[in-house]
Amino acid sequence: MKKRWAVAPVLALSALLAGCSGGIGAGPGAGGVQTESEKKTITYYSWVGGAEKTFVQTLISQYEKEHPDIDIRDNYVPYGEYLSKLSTLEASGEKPDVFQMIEGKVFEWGSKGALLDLKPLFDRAGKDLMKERIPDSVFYDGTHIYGVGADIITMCLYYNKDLLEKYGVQPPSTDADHPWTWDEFEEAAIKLTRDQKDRCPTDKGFDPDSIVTYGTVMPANWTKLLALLRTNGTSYASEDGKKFNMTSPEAIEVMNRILDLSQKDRCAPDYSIGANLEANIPALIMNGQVAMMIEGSWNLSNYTNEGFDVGIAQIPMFKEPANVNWSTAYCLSPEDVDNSDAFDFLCYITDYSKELAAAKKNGVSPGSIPQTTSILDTEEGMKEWISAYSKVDETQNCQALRSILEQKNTTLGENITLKNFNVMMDNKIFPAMESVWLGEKTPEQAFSELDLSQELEGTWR
Amino acid sequence: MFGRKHQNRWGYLFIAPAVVGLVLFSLGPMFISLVISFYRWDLVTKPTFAGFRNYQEAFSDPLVWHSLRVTLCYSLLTVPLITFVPLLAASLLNTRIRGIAVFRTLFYIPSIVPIAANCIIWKYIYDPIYGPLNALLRVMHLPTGKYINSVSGVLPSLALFALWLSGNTVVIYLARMQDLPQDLYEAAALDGAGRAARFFHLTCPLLSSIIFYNLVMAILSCMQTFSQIFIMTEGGPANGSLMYTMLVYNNAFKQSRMGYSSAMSWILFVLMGLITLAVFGSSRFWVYEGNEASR
Repeated sequence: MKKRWAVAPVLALSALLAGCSGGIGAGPGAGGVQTESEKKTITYYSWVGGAEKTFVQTLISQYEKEHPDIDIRDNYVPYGEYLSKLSTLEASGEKPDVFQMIEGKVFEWGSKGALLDLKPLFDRAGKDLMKERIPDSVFYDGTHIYGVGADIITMCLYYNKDLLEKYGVQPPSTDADHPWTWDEFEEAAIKLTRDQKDRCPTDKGFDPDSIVTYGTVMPANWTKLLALLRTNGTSYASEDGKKFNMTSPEAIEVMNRILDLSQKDRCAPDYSIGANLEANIPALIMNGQVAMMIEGSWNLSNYTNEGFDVGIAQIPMFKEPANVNWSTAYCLSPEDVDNSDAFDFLCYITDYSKELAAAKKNGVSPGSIPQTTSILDTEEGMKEWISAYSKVDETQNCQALRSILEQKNTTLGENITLKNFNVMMDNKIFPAMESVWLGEKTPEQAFSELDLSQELEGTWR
Repeated sequence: MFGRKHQNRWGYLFIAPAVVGLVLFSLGPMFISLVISFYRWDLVTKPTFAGFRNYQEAFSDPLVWHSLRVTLCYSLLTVPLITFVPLLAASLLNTRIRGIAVFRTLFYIPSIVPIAANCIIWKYIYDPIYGPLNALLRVMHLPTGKYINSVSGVLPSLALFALWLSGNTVVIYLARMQDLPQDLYEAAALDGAGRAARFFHLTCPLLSSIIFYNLVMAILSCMQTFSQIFIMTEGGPANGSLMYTMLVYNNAFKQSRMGYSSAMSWILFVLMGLITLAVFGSSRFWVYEGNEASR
């Protein structure tokens, strides 16, 4: 069956189902296309939006200035529709030259030959990525490199320093080996929750219907839960990716304790409210409506861009300090015959020092944590990174983030390693989690009902 | 003036855009999706023939059955609501009072607002913390709700939203009502029939063909509901609003299972065909066919 004609129903189905979906900006084109003005065109697709998009556009203009013969046609598609857009482009043979790839799909697409193996290109350029960068930021299966990250992501505890000080809560350590225990976190969250008359949930007369500040928000999405599961010595699946772990006593304990925050301690809004707050968490911490929150490291720039001095620490632990990290992948199309320019551009946008230069020049904060060892492992590098945050002194927070990455139990997320992760998460695990958070089912009920025997096919590496 | 052949040529020319559009954008893709439904295709690798395996898998997939149940529940809630409430609204709007045009416009405006904008507005209205609906309830010291954020509330909330979009149905009823023979109403009034009796014994039978049309359209639109789910709930919470079309979309575009989702689409197509046939079959018991002749 030819792919080209088969694209028609894909497009029709796409239009029928998601009339408003679709790409924005210029259409895709082949790598190294010569335009009338003798400029080579490189098509680039990404899902970033808001401040992050502005930052990427700045980086692209910086690249175009340095390479006057190259024209980058950048396209931005919302994350929720990104994979469908990329799949449609793939099916029509019009895949962009350089593109971000949903992290959980990198090894799958790579194994199917839909992503270019970058290893020979890096070898030829004399770059040993596994030494130059944090290994977890490189999508390396032992033989091929299917993608590289522009930075690295981890989970951390953000807190409003003023609120902690006001209510006499000692801030958690920035040393990732000595985080708060879950009990300490819970105690602090209760202490920080305040109603209109400044009473906390343990005070007599506390009014849960007039809460002004919540101590925290339930860490309910899969990234936060994964990080917390790791601190209790478990994960979504066994190490070989063939056994489902969510019915283990450790996983059940984590879910029940998260649920307690809302249902027992009243220091977090219930899930139906909390889920709506997710997108506004930085704003809520800044204006004091939420005191602490487990969130992704990418949020740091949302605080620093506003000049807000937020606190960062390792996530609270159950049994032992632990965390997860991963990168979003930047990939190349295997269809380009001449990919030297595309590869050059890929190297440029995944070079953290270029990000820092763009950040400093434009007075905006860099997105997340550097994935480059020369920055993280040297004092000069750290100074360089810290100096990119011009509005607030982020020395302490940058050190806290580095400490999390260096902590021995910070390991690659299952979103990268586990086969069929997205399918399992979207179809089964996340809906089951939601039924727990909403109080519809106990964790035991929700997860013992799940049959993942079809989906659990092991790990990618 | 013109020969028949010449006239036909013009006729064909005028219908050509519609026919070409139908073939290119509906029938053609439908046929190809039927072919794809017999293949395994992830958009990345070459399709492989799978026979009826996609159909077999769909019938044994608990998520497919769950989404069918959700779609059925939503349809059972929504179809009566968007078929009969607009009928009542239209009869209220079919009066001669000062400013009636304003009321008619108000009912119709939501239908001309893009669905995405409507969804955003209602997502805000349903927001448990910042939404105006709960704010109003708080002011009135009434219990607040979680609406689309709870499993039990999501389908009724979406049904209410569907009612908001039913301005078109009101207009269709209204147009027909204004065309009903007034002499029948006058005769009924002389015989002592009150407003309610006139509505149930005259208006309803005379409008039965329009009710039938709106009913069929309501069933089809409910079973294909997608945009509001995609924008407002994404099938959640806890799959509480996972409509069948949302699952088709997820399989096709989030999980790259084109063959499977095509098979699912054809199952829905057949199911909708059967339901429509059943409704058509029932029409001879309740649709009054003589109303056209009485005009």
